[in-house]
Amino acid sequence: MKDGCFMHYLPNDTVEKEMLKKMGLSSIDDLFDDIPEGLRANGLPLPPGMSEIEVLREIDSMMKVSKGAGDMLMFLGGGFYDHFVPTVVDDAVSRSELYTSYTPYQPEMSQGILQALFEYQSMMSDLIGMDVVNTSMYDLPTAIGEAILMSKRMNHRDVFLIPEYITRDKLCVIENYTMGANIELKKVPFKNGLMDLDALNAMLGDDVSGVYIENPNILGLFDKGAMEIKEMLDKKQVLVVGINPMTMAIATPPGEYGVDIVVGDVQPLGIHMSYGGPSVGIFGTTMKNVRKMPGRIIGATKDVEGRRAFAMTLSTREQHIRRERATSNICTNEALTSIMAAAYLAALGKNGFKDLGTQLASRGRYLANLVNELEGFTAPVYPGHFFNEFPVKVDVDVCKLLNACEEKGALAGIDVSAEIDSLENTFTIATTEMHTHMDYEKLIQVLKDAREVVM
Amino acid sequence: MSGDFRQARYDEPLLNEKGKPGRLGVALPPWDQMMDPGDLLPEGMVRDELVLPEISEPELVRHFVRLSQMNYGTDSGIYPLGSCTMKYNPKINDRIASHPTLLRMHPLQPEDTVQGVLKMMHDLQEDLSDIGGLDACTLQPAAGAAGEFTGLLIAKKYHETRGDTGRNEVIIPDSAHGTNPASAVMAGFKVIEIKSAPDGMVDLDALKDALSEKTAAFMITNPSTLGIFEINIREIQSACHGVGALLYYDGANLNALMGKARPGDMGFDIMHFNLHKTFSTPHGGGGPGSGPVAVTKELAKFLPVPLIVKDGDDYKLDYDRPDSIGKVKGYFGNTGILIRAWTYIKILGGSGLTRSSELAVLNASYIRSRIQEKYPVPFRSEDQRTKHEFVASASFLKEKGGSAKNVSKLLVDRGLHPPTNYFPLIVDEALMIEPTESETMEELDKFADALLEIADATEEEFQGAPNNSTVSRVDEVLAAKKLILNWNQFPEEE
Repeated sequence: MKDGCFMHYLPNDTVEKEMLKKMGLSSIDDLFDDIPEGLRANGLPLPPGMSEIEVLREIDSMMKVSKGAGDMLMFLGGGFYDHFVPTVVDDAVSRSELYTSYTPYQPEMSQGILQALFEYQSMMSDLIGMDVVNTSMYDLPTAIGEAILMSKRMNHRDVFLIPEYITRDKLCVIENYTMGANIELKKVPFKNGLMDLDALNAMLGDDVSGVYIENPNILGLFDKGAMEIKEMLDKKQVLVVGINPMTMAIATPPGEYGVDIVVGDVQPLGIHMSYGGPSVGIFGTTMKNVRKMPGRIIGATKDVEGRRAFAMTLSTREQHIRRERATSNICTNEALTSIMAAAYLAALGKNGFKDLGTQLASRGRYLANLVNELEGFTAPVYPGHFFNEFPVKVDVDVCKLLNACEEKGALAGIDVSAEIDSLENTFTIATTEMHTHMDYEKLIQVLKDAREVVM
Repeated sequence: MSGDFRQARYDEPLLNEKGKPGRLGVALPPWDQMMDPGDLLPEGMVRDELVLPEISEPELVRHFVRLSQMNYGTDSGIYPLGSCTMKYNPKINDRIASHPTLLRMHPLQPEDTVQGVLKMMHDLQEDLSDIGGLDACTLQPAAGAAGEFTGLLIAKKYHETRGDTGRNEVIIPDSAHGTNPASAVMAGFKVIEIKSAPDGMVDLDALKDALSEKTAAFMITNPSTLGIFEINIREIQSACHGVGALLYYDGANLNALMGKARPGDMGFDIMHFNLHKTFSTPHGGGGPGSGPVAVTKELAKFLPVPLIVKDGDDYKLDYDRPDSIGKVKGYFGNTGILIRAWTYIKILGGSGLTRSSELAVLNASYIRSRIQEKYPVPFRSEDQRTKHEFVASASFLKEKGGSAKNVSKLLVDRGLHPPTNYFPLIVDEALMIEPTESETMEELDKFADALLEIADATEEEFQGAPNNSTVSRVDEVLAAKKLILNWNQFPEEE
C-alpha cells in the first residue's frame, strides 16, 4: 500500500509494467510526455486517502452535529416534505444494473431502464392528465424556466406572466433561464392569497406568451383560478400550471382544464429530502406540442422480430443531435429519481394513493383548526382550501417566533413573509403522515410558549 | 463467434398490465380524522378518476428485479462509453449518501441544524477548486450542461460589469459536445463554430480569425474529444485573453488529468466538473448528476448564491453576494450526489486521484495499441499520445456493409457495452472508447479481442446482430414515426 487505501478501485495498479511493456513503453510518465513541461502538475495538494472505516467515522461525527426530521419536530414544506419513503422504493432502485447504467444509447441491452422510464412517463401522464411527460427536468424551478422557453418557441411572444407570490429561489432561477431568450417577466398581483384574475385579465395583451400559476400556491392554498385562466387566453397563449403531485391523489388533474404545460417537483412521491436534492422536475404537455418539448422522451416500438421494445425517441430535439438549435441543453437529467417516483406510485397504487392524499388534506385541516384556536394565531390566514400546508398569521414578529420555536425543539414552519414583501408575519406549516397526534400537541404547546417568550 | 452471453428476456408486462383490483404495495397507518375530499377541496376540483396500478409488494419487487436483469450497468461489465467516464461506483458512496439524518434533512432547515452537511459541501468546494487549480467553486448546477450554462452566465456578467456589453459570441470547436452550443444559446450567446485542424487540434488560425471584441468566451475540453492533449493551450490562452475573451474548460475529460495538469494552470478562467463522470457517482440510467463550477479569483464574486463559507468554527450559507448571477437551481445542488463525490475524494486522497488518471490513460492507450492496426485512429499522428479515451474509425467496414453501429451490436452480443458511436462528428464511423481505470487488463484484452474479431465479421453477421440481448435490433425509426409515449397510446391490436 502506498500512502492511502485507494488500491482497491484500481486493479491494474499491479500490472502496470506488463501493460506498458506490451505497448513498448517503460514508464507511465511516457503517456503524459506530450503535456508541455511548464503545465505538468506533480500530484494534487489533497490529504492522503482514507479507509472506509475512517470515512464512516468522519461522516458519523459530522452528522452528529446535524439534525433531520427524525431528530426533531419538523413542519417545514414549501415544495419539499418529510413524507414516508416505503422500503420497496429504495429497493427498486438499489439494483445496480439499473443505477450504474447511463443514457440508454444501446436500446437492445438497456430495456430495463427504458421500460422503467416509460412506466414513469405513463403513470405521471395519467396522474396530471397530460398526453406526454418527459423523463425529467432537474427540479421545479428549472422546469418552470424550460416551460417559459418552450412557450416562446410555440408563439414567438416576449412577455410571460408569473405570480407575484413566488419564492425568490424560483424567481431567481426563472430569470436566469429566460434572460438569454429576451423574455420579459411580469408579475400578476394577488388578492386574498390567490392570483387576482381581474388584474391578470388586464395584463393579457397580444405580446403575452403565457401565464404561470401554482396550484396549490406558495401559501399552500389551492387556486381555483387556474381552472378559469385558459378561457381568458387567446388561441396562441400558453397556460403553465405548477402542481404538487401528491395533490393529484384527490384534485382534478390540470389536463382536464386545458393546461398546455404542467410542471411540478416529484419529491413528495417517494424521494428522500437529502437537503434539497436530487429530485425531479415534472414536465408534461400535449401531443400537439411534443416536438417543442425539452428533455428526454422514451417511446415504445418493436424489435425486428416483432417483440415489444423501448427506445429513446424524438432525439432530434436534443442537444447531441441538434446542437445550438436544440430545445434545451439538458443531457444528464434525473432519470433514477423518476424511477423512484414510479415505484412509489405503483406501491401505493390506486387506493393507497387516494387514501394518502385524503389523509394529508384531512390532517392539514385538523392541524389548522388546532393552530387557529391558539390566541394570536390565525390559520389559515385567507379563507380557502389547502392540502397538507397552510398559511398562519401571528400577532408577533414571525422571525422571532420561529427562532423561539426552534429553541424549544421544533421547526414550526417557513417564514413566507420573508419571501413576499406585501405579506407580514405569515408562515406556513406543513404536515405529513409521519406526524402523530402527540407531535401536533407538542407543536401547539411550542407555538403557545414561543409566542409568550416573544411578546 | 458470439460466445455464451445471454441477457435475460422476461417479456415483463408493464406495471399497468400486472396486478388485480384491491392489491396494495405498501401499508400506511390510518388517520382517525379522515374527511371527504369534497369537503377539503374547492368546488369543482375533486378528482373523478384515479388510474394507477394495483399490485402487491412481491410483484413490485420482482418487476424491478426483472427490469434490472434486462439492463446493463458498470456493475455488469466494461462500459467504455467515450466522454461519459463510466467508472466503478464505489459502494461506500451509496452507504454514506444513505445516512438517515441526511435523508430526512429539509433544505430550509436553519444553518445551526445542518453544520455537518455544510462542512461536507465546504470541503468539496475547496477540494474541487484545488483539483481544478482555480480559486472558488459552486456546487449548485445539477449536471454538466447546467454547469456550462452557469459558467456562461458568469462570463456574461463579468463582461457586462466591466461595461463591455458587446460580447455576444461564444466560440466552440466542431468537435465539442452538443451541450456546449446548446448551453451558449440558452445563456443568450451566438455560437461561432470553428473547424478542427487536420491534426484534430484547435486550428489556431481559425480561432484567431473568429476571436474579436465580440467574443465572450471560448469553450474547449482538454484533452479534446479525440482524447488528444491540446499542446497549443498556452497560445490559445494568450489569443483569447489578448482580445479580452474568457477561456472555459468543459470538465467532461478531466479524468485524464487529475494531478497531471490543472485547468487553472493552463489559463482557464471557468470550468465545470461532472461528478458523475470523474468523481464516481452513479449515472443512474441518465441521472441524477452534478456539475459544480470553479472559477478564478476575479470571477468568484459572480458565482451563484449561496456559497458555503466558513466563519470561525461555523459553516454558513452566504447569500450576501451583490454581484452574484443569482441561482441556477432550487436550493444548493444535488446534495445526495455531492456527498458521494466527497466520499470518493476522501477515500482516494490526492495521490489516489492522480493514480486513477494515470491508470485511466494507461487502460485507454492499451486498448488503442491493441486495435489500431485494424481500426485506424484518425487525426492521430504516429507516436502521438492519446489520453483517457481515443476515437477509432470503423469506416473500413463500409465496403462489406459494416458500420460503427454494426460493430456495437456485435459487441452487445458478446456481453460488452459498446463505445460511443458517431461522436465526435468529425470522425467517420466513430467509435469513441473510454474504458476508465476500473477495468482489469483481462477485461481490456477481452474487449480488444472482440473488436479484432468483429473486424472480420461478414455482412450477414453485421446485419443480424444483436441476438443475445433482451430484444433484437430495435426499430428506432418506428419509435419516432408512430409515437407511443405512454401506455394509453398503444394501438388497439396489442
